[in-house]
Amino acid sequence: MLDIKNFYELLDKEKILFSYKGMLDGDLIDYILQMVDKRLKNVKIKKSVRKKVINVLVECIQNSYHYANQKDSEGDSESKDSSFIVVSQTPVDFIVYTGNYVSPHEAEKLDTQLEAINAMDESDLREYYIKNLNKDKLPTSGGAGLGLVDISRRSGNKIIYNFDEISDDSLLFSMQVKVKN
Amino acid sequence: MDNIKIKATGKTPEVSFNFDSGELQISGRSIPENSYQFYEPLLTWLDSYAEKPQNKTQLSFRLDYFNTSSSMYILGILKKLEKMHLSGSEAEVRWHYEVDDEDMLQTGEDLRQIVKIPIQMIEVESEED
Repeated sequence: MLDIKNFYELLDKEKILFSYKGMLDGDLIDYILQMVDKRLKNVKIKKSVRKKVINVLVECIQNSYHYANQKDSEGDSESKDSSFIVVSQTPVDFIVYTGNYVSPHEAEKLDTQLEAINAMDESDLREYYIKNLNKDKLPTSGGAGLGLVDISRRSGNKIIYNFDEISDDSLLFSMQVKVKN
Repeated sequence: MDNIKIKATGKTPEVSFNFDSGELQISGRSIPENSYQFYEPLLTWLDSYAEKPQNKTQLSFRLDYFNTSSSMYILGILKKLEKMHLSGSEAEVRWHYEVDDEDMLQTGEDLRQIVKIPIQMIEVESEED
């Protein structure tokens, strides 16, 4: 049975403003953003910080949504239900944790991408962003990998990420993005 | 030619494209999961507009949030105006950003780097919401 006391203490101690695990769709994403926005309005911070947190959150959630729903055609409900979102507050920043199941192949791709992004400084990131934004072909779905670069630029911090093995063909991808208060 | 008038939703901006005045406005949030669906009709409208544009076209952005897939379409819109501008019809862009919103200012600067069309950066007071 769920140890409510421990669970509650964890939520309290880590100052969890929001947490969710499960499937995502357009409506749910809407509600989640509204809820986090409301919670952020209740803690006294500058509007520009709130906007930054929401923008990072939007990008992280939509990233997770696209990954988790890629396997739609195969009817992989485990993957669809695998997204999680946590927003916590520390004395100096807000931390957005998101993640979902990925295949070993996707994990490799993400690892390469994130390693490259984390090696870039501010001006490298800008150059990369501008170059890739300015591609001739507009995407018909998703953000063509620019999302992670955008997250890194807005956060101004390195993206901390991890892969935990779940089974032979899936890993739990998780990332932490800090936004300075 | 019909005007475009779209009301804002939680994830898509308010849009007003007025053919007669040449005033085009996009404001609010732009964070749809599928930006193609939302922006494709706007790009199509601009293609028709560009065939017979007004002497002066003014495009104004007042965005609160946007996601990266939207930013690609925002650039797509700017490129349509750039084309009009380069082929001799006057076109200008106003990019509004709230005080302290460095991200919105930065995006304006990034877009300026890419398209050859005058983009005016306009700082506005932060609105309570």
